[in-house]
Amino acid sequence: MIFIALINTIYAIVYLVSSPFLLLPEVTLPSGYLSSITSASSYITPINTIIPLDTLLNIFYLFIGIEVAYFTFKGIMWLVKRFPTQS
Amino acid sequence: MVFLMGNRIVFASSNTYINPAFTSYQVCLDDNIPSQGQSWAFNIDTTQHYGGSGSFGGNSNFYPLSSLGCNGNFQFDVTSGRSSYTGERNYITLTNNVTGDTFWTDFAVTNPPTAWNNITYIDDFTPYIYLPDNTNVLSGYDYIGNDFGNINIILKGINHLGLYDHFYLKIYENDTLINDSVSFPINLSSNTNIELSNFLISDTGLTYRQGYDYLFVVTYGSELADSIVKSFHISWDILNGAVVYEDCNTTDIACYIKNSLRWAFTVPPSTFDKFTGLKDSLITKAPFGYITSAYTAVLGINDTNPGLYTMETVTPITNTIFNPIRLALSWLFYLIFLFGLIKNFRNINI
Repeated sequence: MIFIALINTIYAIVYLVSSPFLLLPEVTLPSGYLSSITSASSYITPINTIIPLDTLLNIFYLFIGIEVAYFTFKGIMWLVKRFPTQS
Repeated sequence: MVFLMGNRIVFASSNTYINPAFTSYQVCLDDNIPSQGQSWAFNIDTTQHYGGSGSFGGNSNFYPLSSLGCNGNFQFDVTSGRSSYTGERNYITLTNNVTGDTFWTDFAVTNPPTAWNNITYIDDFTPYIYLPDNTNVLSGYDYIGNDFGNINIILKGINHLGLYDHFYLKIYENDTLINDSVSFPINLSSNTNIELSNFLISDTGLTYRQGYDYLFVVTYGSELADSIVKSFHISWDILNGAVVYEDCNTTDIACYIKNSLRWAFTVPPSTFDKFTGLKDSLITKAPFGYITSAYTAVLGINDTNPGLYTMETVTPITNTIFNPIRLALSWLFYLIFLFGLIKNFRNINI
């Protein structure tokens, strides 16, 4: 019961913070952007014979993941430092 | 050859009126035609098993038998609107417009009709729910315990059952369909209470979760159509069910503490589902929707997509030259990434 109350409290805070976004419309990138990625993929696929695309893609996803994690961490730290008792 | 005798339909000794190419189906009426004014409706259904989708036109007009005789064979074209019957079961029904009796037979290209069957429908049935301790409960029950899969379903109140009659089950978890058309094993030896022997909920092969509500929809169908639907639901209440409290002696303090901890720290899985639902709602909203769509598009990039062009290679050259180069490049890329990562971490300012 204690954990349920704790989780519900966290959920309430998250919901409160994110609720303005829920009022916004659903969006997606223009189809031209998405098709350009597909086109780029079709251009680079043939060179997989020589250059290991799977390795490059793995490194790319790792890079994006690390950057997102770092950015999120900095955002949280920025938020924490807003509290009056923090320097 | 098929004869209609009174309100009965019987086969003659041969099927000489069935066209070898099966472009038509002929019914020869017996001289002992039923009373004047009675007529029969012809229908054709080409579904694999029972009614619903897949039926086509056919001719549903009523044909007065008085105008037909043994010398006036009725021919029914079954090929219109169809390209092939191969591998399918097809049905012809005859319904008497006065008595309402319906007969059916099935056929295939290589398997002409052999017998007519009287369609009978059950009037009603009742799904009984038995808990693992054999206690009978009603719909809407909040299950208490950890043995949810051993809840048994038994259908009763069935007056008769035909060979092709069937029951199937749909299961919803918190209003989401999680399994479709689980067939029930039917005990045909019983004429009054069809007991689905040992049909436990776990027999569906699903994983049931504590803290969720399950809706069970039982549908009865005859050979050609579904007709009776019954439903019931059982909740697996974690607060009362998954947490199995011990029966404590009055002086057993440790037991009370354990029960208290169980009460305090047990969380139903559905509690976390709210976060998943919120995430699903947010990822399509502005501005997250842009990132989501880009992320989805980038995930579609892989080394197996068809390319705009092809690099012609020769297998020996690929094996002796390109593959080692690819391997070396893989290591090189990973090393470059690793060194770059270390360099970035050294410069991180937290």
